[in-house]
Amino acid sequence: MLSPFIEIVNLNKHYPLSLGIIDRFAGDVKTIKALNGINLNIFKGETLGLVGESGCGKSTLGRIVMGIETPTEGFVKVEGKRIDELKSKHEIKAIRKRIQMVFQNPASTLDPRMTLHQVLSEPFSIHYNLTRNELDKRIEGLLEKVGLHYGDRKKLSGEFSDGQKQRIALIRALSLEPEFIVADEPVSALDVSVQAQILNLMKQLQKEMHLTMLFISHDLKIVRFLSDRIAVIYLGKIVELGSTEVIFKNPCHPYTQGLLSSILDIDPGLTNHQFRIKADVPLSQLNIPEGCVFQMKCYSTNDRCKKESPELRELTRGHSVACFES
Amino acid sequence: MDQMGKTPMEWILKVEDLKVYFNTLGGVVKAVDGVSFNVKKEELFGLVGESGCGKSTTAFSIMRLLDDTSILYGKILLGDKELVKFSKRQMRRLWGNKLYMIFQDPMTSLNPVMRVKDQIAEIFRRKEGRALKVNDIIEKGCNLLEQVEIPDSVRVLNQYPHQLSGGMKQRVMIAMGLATNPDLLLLDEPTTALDSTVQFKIVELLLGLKKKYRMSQIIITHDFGVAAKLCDRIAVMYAGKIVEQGKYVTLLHEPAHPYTKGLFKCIITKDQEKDYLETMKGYLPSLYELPSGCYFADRCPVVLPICRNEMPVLVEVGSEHFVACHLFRS
Ligand SMILES: Nc1ncnc2c1ncn2[C@@H]1O[C@H](COP(=O)(O)OP(=O)(O)OP(=O)(O)O)[C@@H](O)[C@H]1O
Ligand SMILES: Nc1ncnc2c1ncn2[C@@H]1O[C@H](COP(=O)(O)OP(=O)(O)OP(=O)(O)O)[C@@H](O)[C@H]1O
Ligand SMILES: [Mg+2]
Ligand SMILES: [Mg+2]
Repeated sequence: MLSPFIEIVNLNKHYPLSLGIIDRFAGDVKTIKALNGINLNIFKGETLGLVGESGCGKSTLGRIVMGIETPTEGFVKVEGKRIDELKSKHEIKAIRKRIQMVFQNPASTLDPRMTLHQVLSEPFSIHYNLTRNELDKRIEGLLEKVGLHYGDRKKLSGEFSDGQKQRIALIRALSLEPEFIVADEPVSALDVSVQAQILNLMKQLQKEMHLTMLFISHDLKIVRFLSDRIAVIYLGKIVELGSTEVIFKNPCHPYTQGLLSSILDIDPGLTNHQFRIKADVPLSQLNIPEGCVFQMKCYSTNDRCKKESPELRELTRGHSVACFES
Repeated sequence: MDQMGKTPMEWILKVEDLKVYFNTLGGVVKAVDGVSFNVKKEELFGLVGESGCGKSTTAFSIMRLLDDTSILYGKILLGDKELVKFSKRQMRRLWGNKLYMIFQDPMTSLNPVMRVKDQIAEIFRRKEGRALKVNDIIEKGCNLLEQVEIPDSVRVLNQYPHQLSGGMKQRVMIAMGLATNPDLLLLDEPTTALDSTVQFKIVELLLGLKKKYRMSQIIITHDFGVAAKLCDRIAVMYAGKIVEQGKYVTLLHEPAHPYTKGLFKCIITKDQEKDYLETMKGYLPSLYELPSGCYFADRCPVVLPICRNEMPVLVEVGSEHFVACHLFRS
């Protein structure tokens, strides 16, 4: 079998939460359990879509895969090498060039006082030795791809609209032609027409450059367009994993079903009903109770769901669900 | 008609010929160039259009939050108040009281060095003119956060913005909007980081505000599913101008402007299985080199010779339906 490009092994991430000095003094430090036992492989050339409830740990997982954040437990391997064990500067620099991240909030990742030209030339100056002319050509080419104008290169990055900033962040991540990117909501600030153009561009990169991607988005329609496989996370756990087709045609976890049924239609004449999800308060990440992570929102719970936590198990080849009822 | 027998003012906000010009190193950027619209009482009014067309700038100018590198022309009437003439101090009295805005970039409205509870306390302090007791803040804060579907409300109240996920920040801002309970709420892309189940709840919550508090809202969104559920009327902007305006359903079923038609065609549907998405060729022109005539001419599938020379103006083509296109000349 093919060996994975990215291997995520038994990953936990718990953030300590100190409510105040007294709690700390009393030794009562609680933790926010952002990720709990994630195992996931991403194969070369594949796009894995990551969806899940807001706050369930998607961005955290992305940052850990990039090696920007350290997990509490578990590790990430890139081409079989643990990234937390890379030692030499040379190795780290080499990997930095091959894997890139587009952060969720472009506005806060760009230095507002740098000009567009400075923002885009930075990655090139770290990794290449280009003449001025070559650099300008590259930058012009990049801007053109996403509908920005070379005439804007002297504008400060703080002077762009949020959707323009998002496109700047995207081409900066793509500028060094990485093999793998973590794209965290990379098109969330774009209107439908620019979004369609950018998505077509990403599709083209998948095909022509065999770009491997961890694609995080809350927009299932987009995830469907770009992803080969989809992982659905709830409260820091993978609850369903399968090919894009299977997730859309035969979703088995009640949360996945809820997600798909909540997509709003553009015609207000067609009424949507968000069925399958209870209006109960979501579970706390501080003390995740025994049993299934989805029990409070689920309509088909039984006694077992309250006591045991369902493991991810394969229903059909490549399609796994963590639910006792399916 | 109210009890006095007079016709009440039926709009809450009237924007007339609004222009916002930025001075930059490369020249003047006409980000908003002659925009007029009004928002009725209890109405949810949508602003849509291509990234960079001036939606956020329009909202910022209503809030009077633009800095000194910009020049503002035109009229912005909030009831009988002419906001363009207001000083910073007068505006501050309106913010968080009559007017509130939820920003596209959370870090514009959330203070990175303040815990969530202190930011919510600040809103109550401003609104009620005195500081609340700590316990009251926690109680009210929890209630607000639960309304926006945030679990662990106590811990979130004690956290700083950078410790929250993107969608949690977005919902904290919406909760702050709820605390403010303004006459007019401006929401700039309020659901971009929310999964569909939470988005569904937030949309219902916003509709509830209209019914319960008769709150008017301006909603900037590129998500037509959200616009469909929320907006009574929408305005479509292109390169700093409104090119079409009307009821949402009118624009959905009978779009008149070629840009609006193109926009609706680009929407991805739930069932699409294609390998390539429908697009509109080209992008917004550079605001430094705007063509003479219609700004959409270069991309327009039905362009006429006149479009290259003359800028079309908005004309009425139906009930509350306006279009700026030479195909519809009065
Ligand atoms: N630095 C931090 N300190 C404390 N808690 C954190 C920190 N970063 C993230 N968290 C918590 O971890 C959880 C997961 O956050 P994360 O940003 O990964 O969510 P997400 O799935 O990306 O959500 P969204 O879709 O809203 O962006 C949240 O409850 C968040 O508050
Ligand atoms: N401070 C500024 N200085 C110069 N130009 C600016 C400034 N702020 C915005 N602009 C320009 O004005 C135009 C309108 O920006 P605005 O943020 O209003 O767009 P938008 O419609 O909200 O777009 P998006 O959907 O991408 O958020 C953009 O082309 C932008 O580059
Ligand atoms: Mg996130
Ligand atoms: Mg904007």
